[in-house]
Amino acid sequence: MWVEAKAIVPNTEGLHARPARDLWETARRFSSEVRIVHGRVDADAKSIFDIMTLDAAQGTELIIRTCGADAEAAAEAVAKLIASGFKHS
Amino acid sequence: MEIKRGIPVSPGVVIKRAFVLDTEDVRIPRRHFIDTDAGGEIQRLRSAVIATRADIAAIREKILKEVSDSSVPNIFALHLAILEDDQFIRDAEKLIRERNYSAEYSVSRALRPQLKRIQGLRDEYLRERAGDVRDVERRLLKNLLGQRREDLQHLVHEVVIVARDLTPSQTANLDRNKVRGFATDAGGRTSHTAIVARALEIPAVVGLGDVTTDVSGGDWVIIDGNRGLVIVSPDEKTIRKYESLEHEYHEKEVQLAEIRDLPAITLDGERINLYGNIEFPEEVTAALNGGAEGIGLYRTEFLYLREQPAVAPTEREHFEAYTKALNLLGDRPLVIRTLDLGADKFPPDAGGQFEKNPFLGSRSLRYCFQHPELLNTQLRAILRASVFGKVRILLPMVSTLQELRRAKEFIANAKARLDAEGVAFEHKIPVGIMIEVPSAAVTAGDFAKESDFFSIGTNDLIQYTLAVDRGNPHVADLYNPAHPAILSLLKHVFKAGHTAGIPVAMCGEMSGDLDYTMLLLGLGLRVFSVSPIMLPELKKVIRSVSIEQCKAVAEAAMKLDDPLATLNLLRGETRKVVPEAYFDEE
Repeated sequence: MWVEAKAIVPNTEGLHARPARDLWETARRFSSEVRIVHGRVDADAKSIFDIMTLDAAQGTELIIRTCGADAEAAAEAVAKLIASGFKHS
Repeated sequence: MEIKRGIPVSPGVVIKRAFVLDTEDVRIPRRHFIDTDAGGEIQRLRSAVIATRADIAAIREKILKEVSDSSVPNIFALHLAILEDDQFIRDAEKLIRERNYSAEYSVSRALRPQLKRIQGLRDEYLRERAGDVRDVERRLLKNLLGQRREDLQHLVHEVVIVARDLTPSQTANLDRNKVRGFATDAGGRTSHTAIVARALEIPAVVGLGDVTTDVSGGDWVIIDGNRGLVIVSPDEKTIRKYESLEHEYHEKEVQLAEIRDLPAITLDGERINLYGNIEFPEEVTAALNGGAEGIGLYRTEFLYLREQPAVAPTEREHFEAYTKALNLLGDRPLVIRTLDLGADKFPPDAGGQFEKNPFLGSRSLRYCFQHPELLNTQLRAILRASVFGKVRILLPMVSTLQELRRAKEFIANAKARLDAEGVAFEHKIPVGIMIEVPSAAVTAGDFAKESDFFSIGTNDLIQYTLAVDRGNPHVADLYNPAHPAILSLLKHVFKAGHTAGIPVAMCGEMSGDLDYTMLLLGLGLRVFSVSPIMLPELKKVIRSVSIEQCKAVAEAAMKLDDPLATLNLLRGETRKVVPEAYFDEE
């Protein structure tokens, strides 16, 4: 079962080094598969290369899709991270 | 299979495995199949990842203490993410397990497609992260390779070199018996890589943009220096096609070799002199094999660039290089150009000095005047070598008569000192100048009275006259040897030499470009000095035309005011006379 969530990139620099790395780190905490979709690009959130390839600038709407035992928690955590503008909690 | 298009700068076709160099000389490992178990190799990769993680973390800690800019440690956090990326590690381990690749080669191979993706992104900041991926790759390879890094000086197999660009010190150090071709991201027709490739008579394609991204060390690569193509991991069919092309090319070479021993005489009986340009004494053989009557330009810069950082050669090293060339030449002439460093090639002690406009700065003769010990050492060696053959001294970058006179004073002083020491040398050694600065071309009549010969350096003459740096892609299209200003300068120089009764040679690239042969003969050039590989074809053109005919072509060319129209006219005329000279066309 896929769980879906949406989030808009609010920060000016988009998915630059630190945000990309934070996203990658967050996704890796979960056992579920975590995918982020931007237009035609469907990225594996556990791959830093895939995340960079999202080419997501400020204002981009991203769809988060997760599948696995902790899918709900993973989708929520990733969506929250993006929506917060990658603020360190 | 991937076909890449670049600028062909040295002809020939070669199929070899790639040796990839990055800017810091770290060799990306050659394809290597392991004979031990894949499990051990994967373990080796994992250990290297752990060691690299520690390296990156240590640097990050250090930077965190020293720098307040928060973006810097972020970059290292990204490096750690790249290093431990699931996809990357999975791909690399898969290559080891399924294909028995070595850990080094797998790392390099697994990162290639990621690099390509990143370089294709819209966001400039993200595109630049490709540099970070390379950085992680480099660190990882260093840990994997340990002390097993191979260097360019000690190659085991024949290879082609794939690099961003080759520096003079890199080419000075490479094992010339093992390197069979070059393919580089950067560069143009007059770039250092191009000159060296032509000197070594190996195929080269430059200006490929991103060939270093597409090739992993050990991949099979075809370099087609005739068409400017580089084919990465060619399929069977392509390999077969190129094997037959390689064969055809050699046949063509054999045909051209047949005219090697024929004289360079035009149809109406005008005798033309053909000389070779060289950078290493060993190339004399190639020049003579091509039918040269001597060496019209011996560039001595390589003596200075053999080591990194550059070290000035001793008098003995100069002397040995010159006598080596003279031994091979017998009684044929050797024109030695004095040190022409500066601008794109760094002088030995350039460290710290920074010139805003190096091509208009302290280069060549100007640099020598500021470092008299360099010039004195070289002049002594040239003079001492002069008893072993026919030696001539060629002074580069002369822009005023005073410079010529000053250089002659240096020569006179060196002679006086040798006389005092009782050392033998040729007292009447001819001294000529390069005509490569517009001021020297315009006042060639004055220079002719005080020079024994001229040699026109077209690369610099064109660049200075048209104010165009050919290596700069924004203006490169303005670089045109057929510009009316160039043609009238050349005509003027030929005439000045003729009036004074001194020989005028041309050693720049234009002299070896068959498009201009008829024009140059028509304008009055009788001495060509070209890269050895160009000699047979040049002779073929010379033997197929009459001076009469060339004069008509030159006259027609002088009447045109559009360099492109001129070039078209010249190509058309040349093609009429020697259609087979153009073997680049499909």
